[in-house]
Amino acid sequence: MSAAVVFVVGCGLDIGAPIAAGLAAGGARVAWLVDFDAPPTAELHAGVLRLRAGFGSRAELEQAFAAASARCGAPTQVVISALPPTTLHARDLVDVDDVQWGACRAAMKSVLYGLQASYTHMAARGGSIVVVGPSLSLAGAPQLVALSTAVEGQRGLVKSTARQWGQRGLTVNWIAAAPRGLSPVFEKLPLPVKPDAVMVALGRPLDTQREIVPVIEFLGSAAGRAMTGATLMLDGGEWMVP
Amino acid sequence: MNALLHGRTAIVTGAGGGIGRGLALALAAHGANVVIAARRASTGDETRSLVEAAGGQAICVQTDVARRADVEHAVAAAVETYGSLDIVVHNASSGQSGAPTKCEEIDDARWDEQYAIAIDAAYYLAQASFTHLRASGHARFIILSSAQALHGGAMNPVYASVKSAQRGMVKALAREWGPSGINVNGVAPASETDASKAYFERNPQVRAQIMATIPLRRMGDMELDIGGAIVALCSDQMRFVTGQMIPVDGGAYTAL
Repeated sequence: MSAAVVFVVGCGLDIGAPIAAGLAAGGARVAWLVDFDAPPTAELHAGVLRLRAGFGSRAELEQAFAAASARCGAPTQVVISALPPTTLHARDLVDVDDVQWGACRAAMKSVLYGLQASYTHMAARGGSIVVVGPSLSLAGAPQLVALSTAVEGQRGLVKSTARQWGQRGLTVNWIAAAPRGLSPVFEKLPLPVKPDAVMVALGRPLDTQREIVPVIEFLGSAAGRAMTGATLMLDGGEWMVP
Repeated sequence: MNALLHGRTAIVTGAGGGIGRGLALALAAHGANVVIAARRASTGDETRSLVEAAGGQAICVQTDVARRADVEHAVAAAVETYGSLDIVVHNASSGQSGAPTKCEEIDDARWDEQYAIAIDAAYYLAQASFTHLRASGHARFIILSSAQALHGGAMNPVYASVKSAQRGMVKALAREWGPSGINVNGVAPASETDASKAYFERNPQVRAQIMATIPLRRMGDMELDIGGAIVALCSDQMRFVTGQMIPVDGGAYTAL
């Protein structure tokens, strides 16, 4: 990963800090572009460049990408997550207001802007884009209709874009991670449960840094270049979707 | 007149033509009272006339599904006219859905218009109809998604995204509304519409290529094939099915 330049791009819930830290520890030059000023949820490697990024428009995010490129070089890989806090409140759909529902739209558009900014900086040379979200959308979660809707919308965008950009050498993949492994916020939410004698094959929680980061590194490596448009379930073998 | 859905009332959005018209005709042919929610009253009235000519019951309510007030008005009209609401079918889709679009060129206006019709409208419909559906005893909330969502169609990333988002909504809402006796499903059709028929007449080679990928070697008939599946989902015959995104596509997508 010594030649890798990775932009870890996130809005809303901080699931990118441990990813940024892990990638940097592996030797990548990492820029962490986020829309919040709160301390990271994981200790960042000293070499990680933190930049404030806006997700309200494509232009704002393009500006942050340009700033990161100026400091770190053009990205070889971009990791995106967009989970506005407003979507992370459990509520029956009849009680959802337009603000919460609007966050669903914002979550999808933030990923669109992230993909578009990635294209600006990677289309000429190719590279890897990885979007990370909670696996709950595959099964759907009650009282989290807006979140489930947004996350599946993000995943659909990834698949379509993968088809459009594949011949440019740009791969676009989706990581559907066990929600509680992404953030403790999910501990308090009504997640769907798969009833079985063995509910999760590996029988343990996901460790973001040790278990998501290597998959991202693989997708960015020469060995991972044949994979695009894929949904990679990193849930320890819970849902085993068809 | 088949009585499979006798006495039940259904709203179908985007029923002024295309698949929505086929669904309205199919539901009415099986005994449902149909509320044709169409953006243009003239096309909605055409569908109503076709339903009535076939011996069915229907009213037309001019509805821009991207406007909450219009959706609430359509739901109220259903209940006022027929006394209940049992079935909601969200079929309306943006006129830009089929427009080839490069992801890097998508602007906010293009995104927002398609999102509003696919997603905001589903949200408005769900909120406006919940109380009535819960009282139904045979309640169905169905969203017409697309095969493009399943395989991530390259044609238009906005369309693939909003249709995939509908999948997420179906899954989550089925879990939320199941205890209230409301079945929530999605259908991913491959249907022959007037637009696709015209396109294929101009491009017979494209038609031949596409048909070669469909095991049944044809697109679905809007009323008989797609409408037939919707009728089955709405009937008691499939009352134990919920939370599913069902391809009705002649076998075009077999990767599930």
